Amino acid sequence: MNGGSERISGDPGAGITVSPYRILSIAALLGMVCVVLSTWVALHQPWLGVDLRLDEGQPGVVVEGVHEGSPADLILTPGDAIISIRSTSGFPYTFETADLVEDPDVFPTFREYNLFLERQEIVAGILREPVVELNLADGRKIRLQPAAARPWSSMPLESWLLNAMGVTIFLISAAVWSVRRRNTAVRMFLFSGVGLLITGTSLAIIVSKEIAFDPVLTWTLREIYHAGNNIFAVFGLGLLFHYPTFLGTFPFTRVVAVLVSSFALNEHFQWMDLPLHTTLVQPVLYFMIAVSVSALQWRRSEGRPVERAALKWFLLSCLGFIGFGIFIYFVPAVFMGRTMVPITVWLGSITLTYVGLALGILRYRLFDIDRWWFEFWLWFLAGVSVLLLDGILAFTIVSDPSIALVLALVMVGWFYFPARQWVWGRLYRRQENRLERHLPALLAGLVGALNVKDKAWIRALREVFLPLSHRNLEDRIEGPRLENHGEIMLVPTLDGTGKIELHFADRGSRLFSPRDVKLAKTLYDVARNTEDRLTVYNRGVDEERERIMRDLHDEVGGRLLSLVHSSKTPRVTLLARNALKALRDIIYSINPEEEVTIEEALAAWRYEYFQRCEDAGVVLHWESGTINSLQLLTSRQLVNLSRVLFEASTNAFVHALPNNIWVSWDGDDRKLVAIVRNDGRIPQQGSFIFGKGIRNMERRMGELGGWCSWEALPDEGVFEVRLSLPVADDY
Amino acid sequence: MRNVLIVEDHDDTRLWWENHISEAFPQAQGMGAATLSEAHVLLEKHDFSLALVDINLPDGSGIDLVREMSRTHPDIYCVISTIFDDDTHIFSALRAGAMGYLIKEQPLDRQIQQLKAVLDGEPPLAPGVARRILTHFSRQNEESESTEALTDREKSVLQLIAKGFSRPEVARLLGLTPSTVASYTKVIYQKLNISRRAEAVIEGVRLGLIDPY
Repeated sequence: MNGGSERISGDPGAGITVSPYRILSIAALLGMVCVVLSTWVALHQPWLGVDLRLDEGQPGVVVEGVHEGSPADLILTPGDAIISIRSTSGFPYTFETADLVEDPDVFPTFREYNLFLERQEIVAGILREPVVELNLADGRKIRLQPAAARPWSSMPLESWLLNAMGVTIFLISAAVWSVRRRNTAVRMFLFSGVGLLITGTSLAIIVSKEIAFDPVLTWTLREIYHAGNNIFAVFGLGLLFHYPTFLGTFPFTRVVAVLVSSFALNEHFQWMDLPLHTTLVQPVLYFMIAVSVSALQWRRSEGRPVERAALKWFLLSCLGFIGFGIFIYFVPAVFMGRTMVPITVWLGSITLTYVGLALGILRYRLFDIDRWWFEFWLWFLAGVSVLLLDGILAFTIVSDPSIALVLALVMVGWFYFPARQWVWGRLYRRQENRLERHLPALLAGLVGALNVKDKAWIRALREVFLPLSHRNLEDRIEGPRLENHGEIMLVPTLDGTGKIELHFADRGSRLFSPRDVKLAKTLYDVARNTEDRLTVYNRGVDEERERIMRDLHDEVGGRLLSLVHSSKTPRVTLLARNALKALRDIIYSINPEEEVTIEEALAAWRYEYFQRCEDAGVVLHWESGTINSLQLLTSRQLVNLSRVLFEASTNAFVHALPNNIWVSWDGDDRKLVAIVRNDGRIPQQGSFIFGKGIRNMERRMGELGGWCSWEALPDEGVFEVRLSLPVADDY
Repeated sequence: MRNVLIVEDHDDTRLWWENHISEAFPQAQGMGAATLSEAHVLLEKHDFSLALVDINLPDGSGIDLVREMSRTHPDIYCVISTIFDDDTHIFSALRAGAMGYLIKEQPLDRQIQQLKAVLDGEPPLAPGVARRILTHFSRQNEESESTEALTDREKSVLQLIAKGFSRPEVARLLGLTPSTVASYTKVIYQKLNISRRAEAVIEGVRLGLIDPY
């Protein structure tokens, strides 16, 4: 995939001076600073210690919970309805439905929002007084002294979740950027993450509101929250325009930035209300732009299945989750005037987007990042988890910091590391297992298949990487490498004359990665070393075999030849000639590299049979039938089958005196069958003399795991010899 | 036919050929050499029309001698004589410049017939050898255009022989006479040798051993 307008170097560390680990540490620190700031602001607000809710049909607001040790503890109880609030000297303020809204963006017009701020100002002013009076629906008047700050244990869960989501998104984007810093799309991804960190941590304060914030704080928080949203909108849309394919030179990101800035200025200066909903119509509009850009990306990926698969994942992550969030949070707010779910759900959907993109890196190498990215995450989280747990324990359960640290270490050791090992195993064990499982087979294949080493090599590659398909190409390459961004992995053949092209790893479920290249290189080096050693060994064996063959030829062959040419006795001449044939068979069959295809063997047999038949004055009828002519016969199979075939013809010429001989072939991938028939004298069934020749035929076929049979067919006027030889094709 | 050089380390066989070569060629005088060095001596002293060369000799390969003779004595008609009928040895011999081959295990009178056939322009051609020749020329075509290629008819002949068809069958299938098929075989052998020499020249130029100008 094209990672935007710049090509990405395959080296994750190219041009990097600060290590990714350090960048992630700095990012984590920044995230923590934002969380601490956010929490500090949220904690330092006047606090009564009540959780409030609206109740249909009930006037005012209803107490849902009372915090232990808070000003309201033991005074208010859940279920109490508070009608109004007042300072000891001021007018009472009667609560309205809109006072408890979680998200100040729900007001569709500036006028409604400003009214909300005015009401908030009144309540915030009352809460700053030393004593406040609450008027309950049951007629009670309760006086409370608001606390200047609240304990952090009283912070609502939503605040922690929003903080955590903001930091998580930021860390994912920073972790991607830390290893691909020069890439425009990745920079946009980082800025979108920065925007969402701002959004998450500012929203965490907003949702922690008990009854009212100071209007300046509300205004400021909303401005910050919107700034985060706007940064996310500009760079999120920019990312879609740049990735996976850079869609062109049109200044799309700038145009989006102008549009978003216009909305932001309009909100800031409150120039005009927008149709439907002044604020919340914006995310819906941005989402529509995102869908349009995605459609363009989709069209660009036509005819490129790998890009399309990755794009599917990318768009599912981006549009799927965000679309869900838009649908469930903003659409009801725009069209119905109220939200259906907490705003945490909206940021949660965006968090899922970023987690989805991280998983996309694992599956499709999004941003051209490989699995090691997760490795580096796992290490980083190990450190962070100790600090995090230590902090949590120190602030909550354990008073002694040293004990908290020990406990944190113990818990991380017992829980995090086993979990990390499990994830690690999920990422890599399969490959390691494959190597362990297939290396012996590869070596055995190399040792066993002397002249089909590349078959063993291809088999090993197929079993280790499970490619969808592979093919052999002719040009040489030095070592394994990726092509088409991992769609293809090229591996040299062992004989050094060509290369093997593997397509789509794991039966097409993922792209090849640099880690696969590393594994292929390991396998290749092992195979080459083994082959080199085998070559040296085989050279020695060959030399020895040549020496034996030469000696046999010169000494034994020469003497037999003398006997053939000098003997006056036909029987001795025949014996010597047969001995010479036997010698030749032995010499051929001790050369295991002499493998021939069935096609070649058939041609040689046909040629020889024709010569023999011509000498004997017999007409040959030859039928090759439908057999797998490209299967290989070993030298042993070739020699034995040749001998048996020619023995059959000799027997026919000597004993039957035929006019015709028919040789027909049949078989499949597992066996080769020859039927030799002659129309000479037919012996009575059961009266064959099983002489030495026939016993030799049986022995030779038996040696190969095959068989031969004889049958007189008087009705057809022929005598039939049937030979069957098992042949197993490895491929 | 004047002198016939018989390079054969096996005494009985050499003597037999020396004594019986006149049966094939009444005018011929057989001269035997048991080693390559003896053959070299005879080649310097006499003119030969035919050389019958064994592949395995005590001081080297008969194929090397054939290669050398095809360069230094191109008029000598070389025939290889071997105990082993494997394609590898025979193909190497043909590429070196041999115009035919005999299998020693055959009865000697049969070998005389075969030798006559070779000299009459009917050299033997086994399927395996035909296949190797086809492969050789197809590779040649891919690699360079400097060597003489096979004609379509020569290719057809080779393809049929490679499938195991005999010369009469090939002739029948292609609508030719057996002697025409035989003459194609002879031409193919010559081209094989020419292509080998052309390769050698190209290699020589590449290595700077031969000045192309």
